[in-house]
Amino acid sequence: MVKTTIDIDDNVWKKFSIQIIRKKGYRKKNEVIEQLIRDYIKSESQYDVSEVMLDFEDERSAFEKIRESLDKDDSYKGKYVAILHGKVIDSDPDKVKLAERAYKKQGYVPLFFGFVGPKRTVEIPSPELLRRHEVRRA
Amino acid sequence: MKYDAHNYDPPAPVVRVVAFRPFSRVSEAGLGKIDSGADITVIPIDWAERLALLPSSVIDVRGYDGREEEVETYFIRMEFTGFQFPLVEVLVSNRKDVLIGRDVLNGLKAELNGKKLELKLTDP
Repeated sequence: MVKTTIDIDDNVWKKFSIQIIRKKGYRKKNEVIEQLIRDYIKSESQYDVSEVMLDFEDERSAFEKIRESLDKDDSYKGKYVAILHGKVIDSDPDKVKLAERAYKKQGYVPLFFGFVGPKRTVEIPSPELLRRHEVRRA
Repeated sequence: MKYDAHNYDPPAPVVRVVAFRPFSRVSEAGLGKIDSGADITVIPIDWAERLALLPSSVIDVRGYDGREEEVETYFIRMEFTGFQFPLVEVLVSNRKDVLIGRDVLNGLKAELNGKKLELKLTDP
């Protein structure tokens, strides 16, 4: 652990403090700042497919665990939910609107967007002919 | 716009597509084939890696042979022929071009003139 000091605008710090006290309670600012720094490092760090997939699978399995209870909750039924650190952080019937809101708020970090309802199947039915050189390469 | 007869046989309606990592200027560009049979847009897997895209969801996909598989989806920002799509959910596949599906095409008017090998995209 290190101790550090930063200069920050008075108003920004006051607003931040009030928001944390309201949402998380007293003495939680350090925890939130540390998580923000971790998320920043993650979003800016080199792309590691396996690490990304591990994070994604964690969020996905968290969704699968709570899926049944979400399905019984009228406030989530028929909606998409955004999962971060194993918890629902937002929901919306429109997946794109939800993603836009969630990424803007959290940064471009691993999130899972799950639908509370029946699974959807999409079709990509167009067959494509391989050209001769592609057949040889295949 | 003319169909591309050089890279596709039979000639195909294609546009030049630019895909961006969400909320960033990092981009990849290449050909995008108009595919009104596709429910959802598909981008090359190489692009997803170079753009460092994050998987966002999973979806079941049925191909032309009826086989189904579960795949990850990703969000990108996409541009082509002057049209901008701030956030589009896409699949990735081992291919070189983009398939522009109905999720995107339904926001435009697409006119295909196969006789003249001409494509016209407008936003009426």
